[in-house]
Order: sequence, then structure tokens, then C-alpha cells
Amino acid sequence: MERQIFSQDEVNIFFDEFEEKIDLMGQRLLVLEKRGSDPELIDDIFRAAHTIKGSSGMMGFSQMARLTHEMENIFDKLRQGELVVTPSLMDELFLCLDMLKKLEQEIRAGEEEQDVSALIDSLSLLCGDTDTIFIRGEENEEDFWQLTEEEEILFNNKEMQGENIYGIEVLLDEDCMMKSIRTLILMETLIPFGSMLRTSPARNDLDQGVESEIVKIVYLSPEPWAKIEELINTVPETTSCILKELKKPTDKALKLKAKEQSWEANGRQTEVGTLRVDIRKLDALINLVGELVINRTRLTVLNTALSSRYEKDSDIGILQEISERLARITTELHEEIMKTRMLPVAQLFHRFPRIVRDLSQKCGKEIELVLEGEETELDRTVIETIQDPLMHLIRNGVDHGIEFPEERIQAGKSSAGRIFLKAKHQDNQIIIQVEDDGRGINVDKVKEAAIEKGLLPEERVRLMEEQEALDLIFLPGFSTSRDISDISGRGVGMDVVRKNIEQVNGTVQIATSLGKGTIFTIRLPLTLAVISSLLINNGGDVYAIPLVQIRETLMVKKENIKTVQGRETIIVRGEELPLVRLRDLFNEDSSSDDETLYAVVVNLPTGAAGVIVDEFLGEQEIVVKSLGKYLGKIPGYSGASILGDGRVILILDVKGLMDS
Amino acid sequence: MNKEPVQEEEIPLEQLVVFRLGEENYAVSINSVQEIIPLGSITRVPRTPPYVKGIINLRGKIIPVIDLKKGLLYPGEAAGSGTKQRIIVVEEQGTAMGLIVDAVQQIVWLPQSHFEPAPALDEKIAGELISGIGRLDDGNVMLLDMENFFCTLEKDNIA
Repeated sequence: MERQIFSQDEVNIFFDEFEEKIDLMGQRLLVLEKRGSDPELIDDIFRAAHTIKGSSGMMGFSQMARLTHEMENIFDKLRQGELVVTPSLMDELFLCLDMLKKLEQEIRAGEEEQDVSALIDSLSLLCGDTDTIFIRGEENEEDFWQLTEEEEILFNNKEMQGENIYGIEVLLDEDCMMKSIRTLILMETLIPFGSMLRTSPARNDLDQGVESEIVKIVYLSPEPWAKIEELINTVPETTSCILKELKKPTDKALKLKAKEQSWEANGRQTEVGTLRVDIRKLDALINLVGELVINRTRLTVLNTALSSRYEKDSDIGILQEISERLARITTELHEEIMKTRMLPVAQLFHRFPRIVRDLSQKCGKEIELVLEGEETELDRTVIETIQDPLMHLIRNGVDHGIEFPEERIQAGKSSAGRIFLKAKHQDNQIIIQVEDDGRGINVDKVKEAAIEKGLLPEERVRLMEEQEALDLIFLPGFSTSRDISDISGRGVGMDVVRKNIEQVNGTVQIATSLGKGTIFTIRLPLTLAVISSLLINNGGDVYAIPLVQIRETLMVKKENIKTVQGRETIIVRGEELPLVRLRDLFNEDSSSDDETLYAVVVNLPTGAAGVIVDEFLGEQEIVVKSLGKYLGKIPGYSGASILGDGRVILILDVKGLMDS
Repeated sequence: MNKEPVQEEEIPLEQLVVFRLGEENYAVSINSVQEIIPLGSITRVPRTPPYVKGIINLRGKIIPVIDLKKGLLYPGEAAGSGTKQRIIVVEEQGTAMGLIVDAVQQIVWLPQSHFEPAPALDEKIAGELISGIGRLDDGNVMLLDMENFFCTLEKDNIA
């Protein structure tokens, strides 16, 4: 088969669109699975499959085109009502998505290799045999109220819209003359307000003249109880009526429905009026705006100098006004540009329900993933960087956190465990939490494992408080599982998780309660590029320390410093604060005769520490620049910055300096 | 810009930037060179190997600057100074770096045949980084292997 040669750009566009559509289908399928049916959803998925079929066909990816063609068929049938959503159908469809992703990777590597014939066959099987889905079992008197599978499915469809299934049993008057007519009238009364799933006698039989004193109806309706009763009472010659609720939607279902509807509405809104932009163009813009920010600062400084020198000159006033306006515009421009790179975490979060579903099925646990705060926005690079850490934390929750159903029941918990993935803005940070209601972390076991692996000296570990001990989990080479489970990987995860998060200037902490659960809290700064910092002088060089790391600044009198076993400390508000000299961290000569020393108190996982520097130079907003591939790996520096006067300064990462 | 000189036979020519370190001449392929700038103020970075002189601002981008004489090529000998010193900004696979040299001499076209593989050299010079020795009018010139150079740096800085 001749394949047209496409340019790399065209191929990239194909992949971009493909990935977008696959994501969309995946999300919609998950919702469809819960709801059972929804014309709009099915339509969306149909169109997505149709698009991929078209473009993959044009690109010559025949396996992809064949598969999406079959999927399109299925969705068409769903649209027409010829097919009904069942668990087995959903499983097949998810398998199709997996296959499509595999094909994509193969194409990227060179050629399609997978053969989709087997998958297509099982799809056609599900497709063609519509009759099998509607096979009714034999009706048994006592089992009349037992709902059949398709009735359950129909209920699940409608559960989201708040519909109930009622069991109506009406006893007609003994001397009612035309019972069959009466029965028909009863049914006609109910029909406008719901659907009769099953009746006894069946409607066909009634037409033939079969009649019965007792009429039973399985009735699906959104109407409340009172309304149904009222309706039945309008039918004359009915002696009594037993009305029961066979199925009603759970609170959770109602809440979920509300959330999904609002998410869908938002989703649709953002689909309108978007534009695909090469991220490098955005990066270039950001660099330029960064330069603007620096020069804005320089202009302000110059302004101040000139104003005092030429205060009598009227032009100075104009210069001032223009500079201020320029400064304001620059700030706004910077904010807007940063916003273009911000995306809601929803797109990241939405991958996880599917993964949790698959993982929990695989290991035989019942786990539900609850998402919160998906509309919270994060810089795009941050989203990319925390994707892997989040994945690992969630897998950990599934693998180690949540117990098996039997264990949970024994512990008095519900058999299904829950993992919460939450995001929110707080102060000037973004907080992302992964929380589970599982078995919690056993701090003693953590200590044992650390000692066993020789990660730290035994006495030190034994003396650790809970918070510090939990931090051991982040040490490289740590894993409490005796066996290496293939779900979480080899326990190489946790230290990489922390490293990734720290790469974007974030922090991660653990809180746990044995038997109750664990919470991982990730804190991320709002913007990557500009941070507030404290400038300090050390040995004639200027350095910046990000304000988020700083608790306070102190002036320390030399005489108040106590030295114990070579470590210097000072008492601050009754508590001991360890001190360290920046020159020591730089491996430079740190002897000094100064009576008064200046210390920057920083937050560390193990508590606070005071870093002694030569001089405080003041707070400043600085643009963070990467140190590049080589120097970027050196611990202790989180980047560099260019000051208003053009000087290049290093941004310190105190924790990194002290670790090494 | 130099036009490629016409040769009777098709001999592959290489365009090189020749510079001076101490008493010796070195060269690097022009393909690796992004630009040549004067020596300005360099911000030092504590806790880096001695050959890392520091970092500079190159039109908004931060790049590391290496003292070529120190460490890699002339272990033990101090860097010179002088008005002729320049920074040659080289680039390899998207990463840029500055190399401090004592002077930039010239840019030449040399056929590949002019270069011989480097024989066993002085211990002073890190042999793997020299990919050949060539002949110029005023002496030998040692061709630096930029790829190897970057690899060595990577090894050191990861430590």
C-alpha cells in the first residue's frame, strides 16, 4: 500500500490531535461507564473516534483506522439505541483505547506492529448479538420484584437523573367488572410519568383479555413517592395498593451527577475559542517578559536617583509618571503571560481514575478515587513535573495504603477504600494532597527498615521523632515491601518523588495515622519564573535566598553563641536554634571577629536553622534563570538571577547546601 | 564571511578557530562555536571544580564559563591574564558553555589530511580531549574534541 510521505510538522499535528481525542474518549468513557447512557457523551465519543478514523486513514495507519472504524460503529449503534452499555462492552472499549495508545507508540518508533483483528472480532461479537443482551429469564412469582440485568442497567442510566424504581402492587376491587380495562387505565395513568419496565399481567396479555385481581408493575420514574400514590388513587375501583421503592439513587450518585454536569459544562466552555500554540513560542515570550521585568526595576532605581537630583525640573515628574505606567503594564503583561502557561490540573487528574480502576481490579481491592479542586490552575511545566510523583503516590496508595476488603471489614471500615486527590490555592502556594483512608504508615517499621538497610546510624534513627522518621521514606534505597511488587515498582520511587517536586521549588510532607490513613501534602509555588527573595552579601558576593525558605532574620551577638561539640547554637525565644556559617557551607574560611552577626533563619525538614551571612541587602523580586544542564545538577543552588545592574547572582537552596 | 576556497580535487576542508593557551595553539571546529566575546565580570560559583570559573549572562541566558587551562588541559598551571583574553562560546546539543582562552588567533580552512592522530602526549595535557595535531605556518595546532570535552564535564559535575 502506498503511503504518502508527510512532513514532520504534519505528523506532529496528527499526534497532538490524536492524543487530545484519546484523552477525551478516555474521560467520556469513564463517565459513560458510571451513567450507563447519555446521548451527548456518546455523541462526543463517536465524533472523536470518527476524527481519528479519518486522519489515521489519511496518514496510512491502517490498523488504527480499522480499529477506530469498529469503535465508530459501536458508538453509532449506541446512539441509535441498538446497543446498550454493559460492563463487558466498556471493558472492550477501554482495551481498544489501550491498543490505540500502543499503536501510537509503535508508529512513533517506526511502524504499526499490532494486529487489531482479534480486538475487532470481539467488538463485532458484542455488536451483532444484540439479542443476547435482552434475553429475559423465566419469571417466577416470588422473584417478580427481582430486577433483571437490563433493568439494573436502565436504572443505572437513570440513577444520575434521580429516578427511582418502584414496585407497585395494586389489588383491584373484587366486583370490578372489567378488570383488564381497569388495569389498562392504571397503566395509562402511570405512563406519562415514567416507564413501566415490567408488568404482571403483561400488556400483550391484557389486550388478549387476560385479567387478574392483582396487578404488579415495576416502574421507573423521577417522580417522588407522594406523586405516585396520588396517581394510583385517581384510578377508581382499586382496593389497596402496596408501593415500595425497589431502587433509589444514593446520595453519592446525586452528588457525583451534579459534579459531573458542572465539569462537563466547564469542559465544553473551554473547548470553545482555544488555540494550539507551540510551547517554545510561549517560552520565548516569557524570556522577553523576564527581561522587561529586570529593566523595569532598573528604571525605577534610576528614576529615584534622578528625581532627587533634578527635583526642580518639571520633566522629572513626567518621567516618573511614564515609568510608573510602564512598571504597571510590565507587571500585568507578566501576569497574563504566566497565565497562558497555566492549565487546570483537571487534565492531569483525569488520567488517574482509569488507572486506579485498573490497578485495584488487578490486585483485588475495591478502591475509589475522589477528585477535588480540579479547576485549580498550575504552570504547565509544573504539571508535567509532578505527573510522575503523583502517579507514584497514588500507586502507593493502591498498593500499600488501602487494605484488602476483608481486612477493612475486620477493622470496621467499609470494604471499599478511598483515595482523595485534592488541589487548592492557599496563601501564595498550590497545595496538592494525596490522601487515603487505609492502614497508615507504621513508624516503627520505617525505622527498622532504615536501620536494616544501613541508611543512617542506628542510635540516630531510634531517637527520631515521628515526623523526622517519616522523612526516612524519602531516602534513596528505601522500601518497606519485602517483595518488589510490580505495581509500585522497586521502591526507587519516593526519593525521586521528592527530587522531582523540589525541582520545581516545591516541598512534600507526610502525615499518617496508624489504622486510619495517610496524607501526602505537596506544596508548590504559584509561579516558577519570578520569586520574592532576600539578597545577602557574603564575602563580597551577592546571593539570593527565596523568601519561601525563610522564617525570619536575626541579629546575633557573638557572645550569645554557644558552641557544643563543634556546633554553634543560640537561644531564640527560649528555644535552641542551631547555627551554621555560610562560609563553612562554601568551604571557605569562616573565622570572623565581628561582634554582631546576621543570621537568616530557614525552614528545614528537620526543623529550623540560622545561616550566618555578612550582611542583609533587602528583599527583591527576582527572575529565576536556570543554571543549565551542567551546573544545574549541583546541590545547593536552585538557579541564578540577573539583577537590575546586570550582575549575575546565585539563588541558594539552603537545604541542598546543608545536605551535601 | 569566508567563502570556501576552490580546490582542484574534492578534499574535505574543515573550518577551525585557532586560539592560544599559554605557549601553545589549539583549535576547535567552527561548527561548535557559537560566538566569541570579551572577558567580562564572571560570577563565581562556590563548590564547583576548580576549572569552573563561574557563570555569565549571555543575552538573558546563564552559561557556565570554564578556564580551559586549569584542570582539564594543564592540571596545576594557573590561568594567565591579559587584554587578549576572550571567551569562546561553544555549543553542543543545545547546551552552551564559555571557554576562556588567552587569545584568539585566526580562523583557517584546513583539509582533514593536515591532521594526524595525537601521539602519546605530555601528561600535562588530557590526551583523550585532543583528536589530532595539525600543522600551521607558525607551529603545531591541537584539535580539541568538543564532544569528548562535554562528556568529561558531565561526568565531573554529576559527582
